Amino acid sequence: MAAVLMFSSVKADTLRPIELDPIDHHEAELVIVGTDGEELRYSPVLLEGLQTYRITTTTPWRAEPADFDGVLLTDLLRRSGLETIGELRVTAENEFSAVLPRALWETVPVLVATRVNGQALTRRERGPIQFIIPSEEFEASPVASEAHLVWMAARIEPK
Amino acid sequence: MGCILGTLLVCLIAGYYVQATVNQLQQTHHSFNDRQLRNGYVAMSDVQRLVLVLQEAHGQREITPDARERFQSAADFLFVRTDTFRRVQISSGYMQSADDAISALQYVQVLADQAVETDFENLEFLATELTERAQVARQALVTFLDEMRRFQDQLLLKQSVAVAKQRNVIWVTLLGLSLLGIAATLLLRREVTANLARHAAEARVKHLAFFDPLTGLPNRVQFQDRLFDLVAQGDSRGLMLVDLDGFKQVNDTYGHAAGDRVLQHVAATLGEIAQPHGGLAARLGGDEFAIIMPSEDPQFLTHTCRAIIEAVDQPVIYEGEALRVAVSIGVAADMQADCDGLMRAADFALYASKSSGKGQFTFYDGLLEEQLIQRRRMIEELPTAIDDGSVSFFLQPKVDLGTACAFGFEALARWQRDGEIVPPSQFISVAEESGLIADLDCRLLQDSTRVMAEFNRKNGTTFSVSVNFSAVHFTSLKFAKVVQAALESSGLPPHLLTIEITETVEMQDWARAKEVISMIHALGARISIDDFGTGFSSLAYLRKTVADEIKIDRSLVADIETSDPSRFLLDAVLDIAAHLELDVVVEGVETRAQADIIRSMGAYRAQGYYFGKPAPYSEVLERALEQQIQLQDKSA
Repeated sequence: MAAVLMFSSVKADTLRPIELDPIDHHEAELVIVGTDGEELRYSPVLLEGLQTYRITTTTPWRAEPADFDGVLLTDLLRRSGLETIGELRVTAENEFSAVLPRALWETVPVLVATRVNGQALTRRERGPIQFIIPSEEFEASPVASEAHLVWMAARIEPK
Repeated sequence: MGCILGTLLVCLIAGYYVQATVNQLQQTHHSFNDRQLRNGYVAMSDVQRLVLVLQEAHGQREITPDARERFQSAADFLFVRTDTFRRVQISSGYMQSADDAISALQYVQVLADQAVETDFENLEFLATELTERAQVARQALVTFLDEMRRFQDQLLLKQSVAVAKQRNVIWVTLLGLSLLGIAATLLLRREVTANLARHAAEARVKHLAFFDPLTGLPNRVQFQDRLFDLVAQGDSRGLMLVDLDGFKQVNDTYGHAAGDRVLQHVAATLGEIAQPHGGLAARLGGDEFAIIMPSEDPQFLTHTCRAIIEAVDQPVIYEGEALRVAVSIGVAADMQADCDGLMRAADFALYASKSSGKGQFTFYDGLLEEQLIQRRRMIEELPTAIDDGSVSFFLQPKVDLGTACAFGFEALARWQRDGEIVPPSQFISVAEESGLIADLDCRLLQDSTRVMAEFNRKNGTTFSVSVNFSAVHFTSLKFAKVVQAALESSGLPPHLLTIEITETVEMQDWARAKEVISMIHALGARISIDDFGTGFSSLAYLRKTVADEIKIDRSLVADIETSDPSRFLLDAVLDIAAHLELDVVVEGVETRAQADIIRSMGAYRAQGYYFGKPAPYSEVLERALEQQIQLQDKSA
């Protein structure tokens, strides 16, 4: 609910809480490194143990809107005490990395998605863990860029 | 307006070029597809990752679960990379080398997926085939990347050129704006200067409309406005009209610059006296000034008048000369009068002051006005009176002291007006003021010579006649012709006509006067200096070339019976005249005793009430004729 309030300017139908039934996920792991160096490791199942949300949106690789389910980046960061950090470095399984400024998750909803259209994200669908921003907010934001839509996300750490 | 349009035009052109450059830079940025470059490099890495896993497995003749997993991941990476590569390429436009690279990658992808589907059952084939396909993909990617680099080099070059153009545009714009700014500044300065000049001119005009430029005092317009306001508000006010005495002489003698200096002196004096009391001093024109004082208290106004007369009397030093003028003042302070009434009253009072002499001030009253009205009526009536003969002449005998008989007469003007005889003391000044004195004198000359000639012809007498002429006649050569005409028309022998001159301060052009006198002498008429012994006559005139006769003024005779100095003075004058062979007529003899005394002193001729008052000429001539007949009878 806190996350919803934080993005009060976001359209109601772009981010909404959702209860997810358990499904089989592809093997993957998201490591979150706290400011003290402590690592929290999340599988898709563990991620979905948090409050989950759905975003229906297009992406640069999807012409048609799809339902993305997952958790909010802000919730994850709060759990690791990183919500007030200035910048984050997010690294993908293929060694791609991107730097996310704090203004990004404070102004647009960043969903750490584990499912698309009710199915677990495959790697060929840029999963199993993918950062999603609703297209309207993405287009309107002066901060967001395509590099922030990290796919095959594997690690989050302070920059 | 031109500068504004110019600035807008320059800004418009600059804006157009800046926008064009921005568009070009945006296009360049869009074309500068570094994502695609990265896709190329990463795709090469992904392919290499596949090849390494499969070659490792081929070398070991088997593929481990870990290698299988890594191969699967690498295949997934390549799939996503190729998909991304393809999508970006579709949005970027057609590029043959990119299509070739994507096809090569897909060809690798197909083999990788085939390997997974067949569970790597023919490792040797897969390794060999994947290596070959990877080689093809690598070559295609290198070709693509080289082309991208060339393309990006061109973009960077274009961007540099665009920035250089932008720099030029900025320079030209700045130069244009600077020139326009300079032009605008110059125009603004010119406009400001013109505005200042216009404002100064307007202020000057405004000042001239209400102030006298020479003295700086308020002019007649402002004076009248102030007077009107005071009268309209019913406030106490005293009006003084101030007129300079002797200003013309200053102008004529020292020039107009000196006259201006005197006017400034008077103006400053009036201003200094009026302003401390809340009064207004103004110059009405010429040598006329006025003061409005916020009081009608006679004592205060009297004190003010005296202060003005005393202050103006201080000499003005001009080019080393001490110039001195006096002022006459007319005062009016009537609460009931309107503006015109106040002005008229003050004017009457001023006129009275001027008539009384220099440096006088007069308060207006009704009697004064009555006198002045009478005087003005006389001015109006005098021309008609001269024409219709109302102005005639009396004769007063000039007698031979030896016989007490008249040898000649002085013609004296008289005006028969409304049944009364107006004496010359009342209307001669009017004639002088109105410019009719010349006509009056000429009429008197014509009439008296005509009467005298007719009488002499009729009675066989040789009486002479003397006619007084104002000094102004002796400034014109025409006067001699007037005398000549009178003699010719009357037939009077010239030696029986005596022209009497009263020397005055106005008779400055003595050279011209002597020329006129010479012309009269040439006609045969005589010249007599009248009122000798008064202020303006001098011993310089006691020359034969100037006068034939002097008439000693009555002031030297009045107390001759009781005053030794008077007798001594008269004796001295008679002695000088005798030595210069000048005829002498002693005026003002009123008693037998006076007649005896002057005769005892050697005078032969006299004139005065004792011998006969001025009377109508017929009466006087008849009496003289009787005396002459009686004398002849006695002699016989």
